[in-house]
Amino acid sequence: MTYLLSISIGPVQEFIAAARRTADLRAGSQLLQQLAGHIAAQITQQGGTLIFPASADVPGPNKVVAQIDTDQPSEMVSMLKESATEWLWQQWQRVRERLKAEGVLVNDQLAQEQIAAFLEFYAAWVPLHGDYSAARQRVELLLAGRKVLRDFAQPSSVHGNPKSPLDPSRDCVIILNRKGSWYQVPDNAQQSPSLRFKKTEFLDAISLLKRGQEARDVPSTSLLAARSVLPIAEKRVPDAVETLRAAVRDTHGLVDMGDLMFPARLQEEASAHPVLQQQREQIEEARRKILRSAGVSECPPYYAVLVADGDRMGRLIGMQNTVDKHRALSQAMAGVARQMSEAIQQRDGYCVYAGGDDVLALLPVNRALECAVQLAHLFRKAISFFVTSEDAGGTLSVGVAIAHHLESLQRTLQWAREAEKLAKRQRNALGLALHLRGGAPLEVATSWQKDPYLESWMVWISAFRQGLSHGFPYELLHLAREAEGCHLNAETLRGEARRILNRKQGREAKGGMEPFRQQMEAELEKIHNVHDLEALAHRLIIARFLSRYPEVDV
Amino acid sequence: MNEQVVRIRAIDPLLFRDGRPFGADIGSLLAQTLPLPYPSTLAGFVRTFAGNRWGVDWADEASVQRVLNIHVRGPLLMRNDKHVFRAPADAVVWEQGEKKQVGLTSLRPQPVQPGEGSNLPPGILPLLPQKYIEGKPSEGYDLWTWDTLSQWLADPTGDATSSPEKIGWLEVEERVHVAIEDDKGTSKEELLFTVQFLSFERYRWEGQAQREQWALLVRVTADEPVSLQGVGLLGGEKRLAAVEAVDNSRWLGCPPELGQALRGASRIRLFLATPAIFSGGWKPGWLDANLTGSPPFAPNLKLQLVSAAVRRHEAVSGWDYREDHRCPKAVRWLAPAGSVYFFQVLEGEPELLATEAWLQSVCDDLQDQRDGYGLALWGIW
Repeated sequence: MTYLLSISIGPVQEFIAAARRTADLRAGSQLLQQLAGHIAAQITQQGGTLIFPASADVPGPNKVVAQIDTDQPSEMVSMLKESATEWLWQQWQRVRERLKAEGVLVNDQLAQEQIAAFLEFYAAWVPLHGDYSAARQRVELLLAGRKVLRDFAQPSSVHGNPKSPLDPSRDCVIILNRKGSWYQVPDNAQQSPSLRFKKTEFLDAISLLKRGQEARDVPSTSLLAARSVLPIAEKRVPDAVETLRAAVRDTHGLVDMGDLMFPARLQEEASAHPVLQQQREQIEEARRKILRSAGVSECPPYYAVLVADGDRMGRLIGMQNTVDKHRALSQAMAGVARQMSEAIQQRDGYCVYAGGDDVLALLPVNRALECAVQLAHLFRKAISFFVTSEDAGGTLSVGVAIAHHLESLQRTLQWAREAEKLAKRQRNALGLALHLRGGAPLEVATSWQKDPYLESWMVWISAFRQGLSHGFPYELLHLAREAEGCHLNAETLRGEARRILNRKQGREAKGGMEPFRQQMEAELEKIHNVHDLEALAHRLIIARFLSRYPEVDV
Repeated sequence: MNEQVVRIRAIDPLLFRDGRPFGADIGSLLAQTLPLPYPSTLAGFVRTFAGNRWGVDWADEASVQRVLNIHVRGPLLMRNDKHVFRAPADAVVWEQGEKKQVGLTSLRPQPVQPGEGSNLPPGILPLLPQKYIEGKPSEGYDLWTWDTLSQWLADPTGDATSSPEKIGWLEVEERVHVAIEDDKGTSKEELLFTVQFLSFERYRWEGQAQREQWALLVRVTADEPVSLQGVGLLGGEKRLAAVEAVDNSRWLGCPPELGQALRGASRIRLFLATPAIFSGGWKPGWLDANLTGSPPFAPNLKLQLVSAAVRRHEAVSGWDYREDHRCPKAVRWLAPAGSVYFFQVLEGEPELLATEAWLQSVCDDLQDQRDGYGLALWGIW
């Protein structure tokens, strides 16, 4: 008998976000993709036909939809779950051997229990008689009904055992050294270039599974921040960039170029690595040269996290009323995922995950907007064939959070998801959030339909670069606050905003302002009430922040 | 037996750490708060308060046991002096249309058609929505007023319950601090750290000034008299909270309509007002292999579990402060507050759930019961 099978695995966001380093983030995402790929491959081996993803080789999302021929769907699902757990176990064995080779010992029994209990595997199936749309709708309903119960067993945990800092719901499995009244990770684990443990990183087996993955060339958040100047310097002062690169090589990968671009980080790393201490003067000199070449005095410490999600994808998938159409959509997703990944790399970013309608990437601040525009464009283009009506979805909501490179990665990811939620409120939009240290966060949404190339951003960024007073947004904000509750009409608000703009253009800058004047005034014309004015002021504060980043020649 | 209901109001914003490290290392520069304290945090707070009033010697094991025997039920959350609860996991709320009209439907156990199936635990039916919903459930309906929840529990289908008010979690305030160089008295470069606090008071402007005040209510039962009035330290960072005894009528009783609905009912629901610790993880340990059993406080009632709506587990650990062995406690996973369990009544009269087992713990372990985990409200389906 033929069945339609739908599988969802997890945990996803919580698992990926439990990361201290970008390498952990990448490893978490990769493990889930490989696991979903393994399940997809098992289904193919059992004679099933994949519908989503279109093939087991495509980077797997956390969901698999397939057509299976069997008389015992329940047994097949049990077998798939066992196989997935076995696959995780094999990964763990590899990591365990690696840890052992580095002299790090673990509590095997506890680790085994944590690995065995980790996977959330939810599945539902319905007979497939011909009406694919109805069967798909029914199987997804049953799957949702299955997921209402997130069943779990009590974990093994030992009184007195430290908890994992990345996931405090699990015990540490590393055999720790006792130091005074507390513990410490063994020294060899701290010195291992690939493991890079902090002395209090009492990791659980799941976090170790991530840490133990081979993770080459995963940039740190510091490097992503520094990439707002490094590619410029690469063209203008290649020798200085090479000096830093050579220093990185000398540490055998224990630091990256991002660590060398910030004096406090350099000081910290130099005290840990004598080889850096010896080269400290040359590194400082190269850093100054790099910064001069990009026209900045200090390395900008912020980077961007981008997350994106297709709008109304459930409805769009529901419209694909045959297996072939659904599979064609899956193939289109796989195609656009590759293009998106390339687009991110071309902009000096790092693609953690691209699954077509779901993206997670890290970017230099001065490439983030341009990248968001490109991703939304690629998605629309790839999906347009399948969109048959205006409300069928097929657009992309993008969230970008700009955060300090020392901020916790888990928190920055959460901010990016919040920015995505802001975009999702109107759909087909960009939500941009600026989280300055010590300042209230600012969030602004921009519709892709109204402004597909973000011109309303670019005009202000350019104007600030040409000398528009940095006090302008704050005066608009002040006006918005004063006007609240005063019932000023729209024309009065616009007139006052125009007056402030005229006053704030700066004498020297006036000539440079001219190319943007018309567009800036057109932007002010869009003010209809105090909320519009406030939103514009917030957008301008973020634009002013972005204008201080060096421009990249595209 | 001395029994009193106590209201705890935060004087300062409060921090209930989530178990992640907080220190000078990159990645641990934030002290994150839970959205609400776990029952054991409140139980610890009340017991410390009572123990200090009794002049307990904290190094003496027998004295500590005397304090541990104090039974603390709660916390129940109060918003502007009215009870609010975690949204039930068997409800789906969504906003529709331009005007964001609020829709509400229930999830109910439904047998599957021949050939269909899912990998639910054996004997458990899937919970399916009673109405077709397009799109995703709306966010922000995290807490329900008692008015709405009591209607919901007495409503077998969910059709007769009015839409819930949009009430989100307590606001989280963040404060950024800087570390100071001891020798120079200046700030340490790049060493900013952030502490999150739960704000128990909020003012908002929505055309007119709105004030939102939150408090926690616990019911304390002790063998000896204890005066629970004054100020104590609650949560992390030594923050103050005021403790005051209130009239015992502030504790929620079962509304007569719900009691009536429970009388003779053949299908009942268990709603977790506080998170529960079960030996079976998501599943109460008092259920046998056939999913049948009697809940604590209702031994004459025999129930069969049919289905359950349980969100992803939460975890509790904490720190053992006993003098001889200060160390982290073992971690346990919780079925979150708001979880709903569906039962068939096999034997007995469920009306006693409205009296004997009302806001009593359904946890398996006696100390977890004394700590206020797993307080149950009951309804029908």
